[in-house]
Amino acid sequence: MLSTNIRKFLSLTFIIFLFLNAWSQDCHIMLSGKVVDQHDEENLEFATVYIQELNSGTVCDSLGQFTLGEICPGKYHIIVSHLGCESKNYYISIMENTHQIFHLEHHEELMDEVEITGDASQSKTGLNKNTIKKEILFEQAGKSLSEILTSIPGVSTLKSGPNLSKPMIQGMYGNRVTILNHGIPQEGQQWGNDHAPEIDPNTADKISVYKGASAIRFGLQAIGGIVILEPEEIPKDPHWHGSYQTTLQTNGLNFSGAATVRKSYDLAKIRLTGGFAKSGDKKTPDYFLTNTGNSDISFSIIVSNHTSNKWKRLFYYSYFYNKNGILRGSHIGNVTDLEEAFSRKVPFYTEDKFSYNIDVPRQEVNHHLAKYNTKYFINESSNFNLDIGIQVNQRSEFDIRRSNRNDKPALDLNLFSQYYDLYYFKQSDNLEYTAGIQYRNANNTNVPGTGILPLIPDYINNTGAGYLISKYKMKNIQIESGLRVEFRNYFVAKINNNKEIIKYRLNYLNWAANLGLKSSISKDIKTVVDISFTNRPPEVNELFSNGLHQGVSGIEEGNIQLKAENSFKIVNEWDGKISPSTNITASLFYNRISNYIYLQPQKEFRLTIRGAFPVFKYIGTDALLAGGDIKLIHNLTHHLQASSGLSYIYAKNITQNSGLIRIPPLNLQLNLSYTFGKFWKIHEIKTVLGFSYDAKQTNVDLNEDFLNPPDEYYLVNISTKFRLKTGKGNDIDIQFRAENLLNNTYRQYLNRLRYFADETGSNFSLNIKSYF
Amino acid sequence: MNTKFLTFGMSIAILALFSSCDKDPVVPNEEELITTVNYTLTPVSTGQTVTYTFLDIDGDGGNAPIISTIGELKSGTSYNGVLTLLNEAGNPSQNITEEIEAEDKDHQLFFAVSGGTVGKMVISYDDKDANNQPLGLKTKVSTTGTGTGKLMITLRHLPNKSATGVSTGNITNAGGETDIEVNFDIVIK
Repeated sequence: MLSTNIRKFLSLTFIIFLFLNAWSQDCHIMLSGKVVDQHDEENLEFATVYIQELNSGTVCDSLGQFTLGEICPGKYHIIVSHLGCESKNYYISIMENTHQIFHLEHHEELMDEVEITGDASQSKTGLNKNTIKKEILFEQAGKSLSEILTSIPGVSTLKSGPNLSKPMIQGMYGNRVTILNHGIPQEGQQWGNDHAPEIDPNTADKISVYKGASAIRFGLQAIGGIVILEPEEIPKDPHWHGSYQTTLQTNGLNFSGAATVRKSYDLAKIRLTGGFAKSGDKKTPDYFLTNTGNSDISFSIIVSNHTSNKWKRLFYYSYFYNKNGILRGSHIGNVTDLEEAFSRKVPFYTEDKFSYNIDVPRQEVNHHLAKYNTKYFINESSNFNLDIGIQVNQRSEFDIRRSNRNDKPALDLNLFSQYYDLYYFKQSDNLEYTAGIQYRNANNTNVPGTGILPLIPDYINNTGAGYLISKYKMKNIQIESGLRVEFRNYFVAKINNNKEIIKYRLNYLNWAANLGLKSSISKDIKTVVDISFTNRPPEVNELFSNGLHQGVSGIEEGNIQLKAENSFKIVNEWDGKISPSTNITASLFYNRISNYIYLQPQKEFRLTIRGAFPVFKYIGTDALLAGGDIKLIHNLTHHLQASSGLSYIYAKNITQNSGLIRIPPLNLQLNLSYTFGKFWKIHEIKTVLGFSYDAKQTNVDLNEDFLNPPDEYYLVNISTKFRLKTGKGNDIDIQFRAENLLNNTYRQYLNRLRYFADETGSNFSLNIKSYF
Repeated sequence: MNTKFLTFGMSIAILALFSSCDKDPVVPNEEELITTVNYTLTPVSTGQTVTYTFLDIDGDGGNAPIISTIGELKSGTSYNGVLTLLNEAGNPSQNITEEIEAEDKDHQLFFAVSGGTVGKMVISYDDKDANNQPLGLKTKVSTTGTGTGKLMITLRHLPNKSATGVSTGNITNAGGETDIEVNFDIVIK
């Protein structure tokens, strides 16, 4: 009996407890708020707010306001979407009536962040940052980093065939452009015109470019500008979220995949990315480009610790493997071979069958990058920041050789580098400054066993630098000034033609300074003027290259007499709304470089047992580059947007009174995009019709090149993107893309392949990205 | 925390300073290099042997190559031509001719006479590769009349031996990559 009483009592207590619990579980909570643009806080009308756990959502009114009722207390995943914006997943706790403002990044304008405020780690230079956001990265999926960057006016590519491309910023490339890979300057064999940066763009959430004047903080090699790959802040959400993406392309039967996942633990936030790509021979409108397949693998991890408000720590590691075939018909011996190759309509060794096989000649690259960043906040207005980067770059290049030596690399380099940067940042009401010291060490080794005298010697590069950047803010104006002093020591062990090892020690003391002015002319128009002086010491390849460079089929000779390059550059950038529906950005520059170092073809050919070879020698000349790029975005209607971009550079070799080699010709891009919303089950449809035109480069010295620049050409591209939603409200983006839709036959001035073959013909892609 | 941070930074900086500061590269053995081309013409019956030599011991760059001729080419004579390739940069020197013989399908030599000896010095193949196509390490040479001109000897790696004219010694459609290309002055007396 007693037991039944107890049971009764217990069940009663339980019922009471349940009742109390249900009573306290007030499921009448309201979530209300607003959805606004991250940049200008403008209300985003008719945005959708969807609570995943409740499978319910609402549409904002014309002021971007929303209300959702009948919510029980708890933590919820909320997906906020808007036409033309990247959807965002928020994880918030709703315990009582809550008013929340959600920020979305409107991708309409893919650039222009004039940062009047922000700390030193965000505004890296005084100039405008041109950013390619996630949405645009998706629309460009399957392309290389450099190709993606060409959507920014003023950025072009220097190519060696369909797989190898280097970014070029306002006519500068290689040793004059720095790529900042998650905060660390990328160290590879960037001197080679046929060496693409060893980075998978899928490891970044956004990619930006600063044009010019970036040398103060990132070193004198950033004379022409910097490319920045960075992750976005990992949201505080204790579940795995992310996306996966597949791209299929018809030209080269390319298939690739990439995935990103993020999670926030109590101790640390984690982001992982992985990707692969496999492609076979590309095709021009008329023939296959035999041996132009490639395969890539990449992986990266971020672990960041934000448990303390005073101390932030972040670890990053990335690995990139890349195997690139080089057009079989572009591998030639001496000048006779080269001239014979020029006269051919279809390159030698062209197969009439497609193949995934990657034979010789080819490049294989492994790149590891490990980074540690720590930031210590002394108080709200001052902090210390330390970056450490360790990189290993292994590059093997395989050539066509005799007696089964094809498997033996003809060039085998191992570059180990270290980067340490420590700065102190302090800000007061209207003054902020950053003072830092930096040490870099690069150790280059030719891996023995190639059986060929090295083109680049073994060397150690020690660089120590100090810099000071200050910003003074007034009402509508901000003045920025910077100074960098850099000491560099090269230790070089060169093997000469008599097989003797000769050791050199060289020291350089160089500097850079800039003065910038940012000003808001009106609420909608901002301008920046930046004057910079950079004194770049010659790089090891410029001083010591020696031998046959297969990539350029010439004998390259370094020049130990070279002095530092002095660059004086003025950049003037504009960003403004000239009418409510028209936005204009422009970047104009004037760049005078004395002792501009370049590979100059020599008049006499060198006689060898393999015949005559052209000789190229590094020399310094006086150069002038001036030009600019301008982009106009005009919203014709709510759905229809027209944009146009124009870039042009005038370049002169003052010493020779001629044009300068390898300067991009005039480029014009026109895009018409039509975006409209909910239609049946499709949440967004965006169609872009693109037209691009490259003029013929006429300002060249014909004595400095083998062939005249190719003719002008135009290309038509078209793409359509559909956004669907999963049952849980997550986005699925599907894109169809056609490049060189008309299958035009053309050659590009800045592609070495132009000596041998046409550019690739039409390419159709299917691109799917799914978020979870 | 502040001091901890600085200590950490300092120790890293010190670590960095200990990185090595000397390099001792390994001098590569350039086994693929061809330093010497010898083209020896031995009369079928009697007479003087003629040898044409192109010598560039230090490879591309460095000192200029030495081109020499020993002996006199006589008019109205038949010669057996033998071409040898050597790598004399290392010690002992290496016979590259053997490498070419081993990969005979992937190689072909071309002999082009120009100037005043055109038609007066006629060179034909006297050997075949595994596919019964010409190779050119062995040749038949016959001379008629006198004059001075030039002889260009080219070795192509991976030529298209089945292209038009290639099997008869016309280089025009051969393609491939040039492994040697040397010129000699020819005097027929």
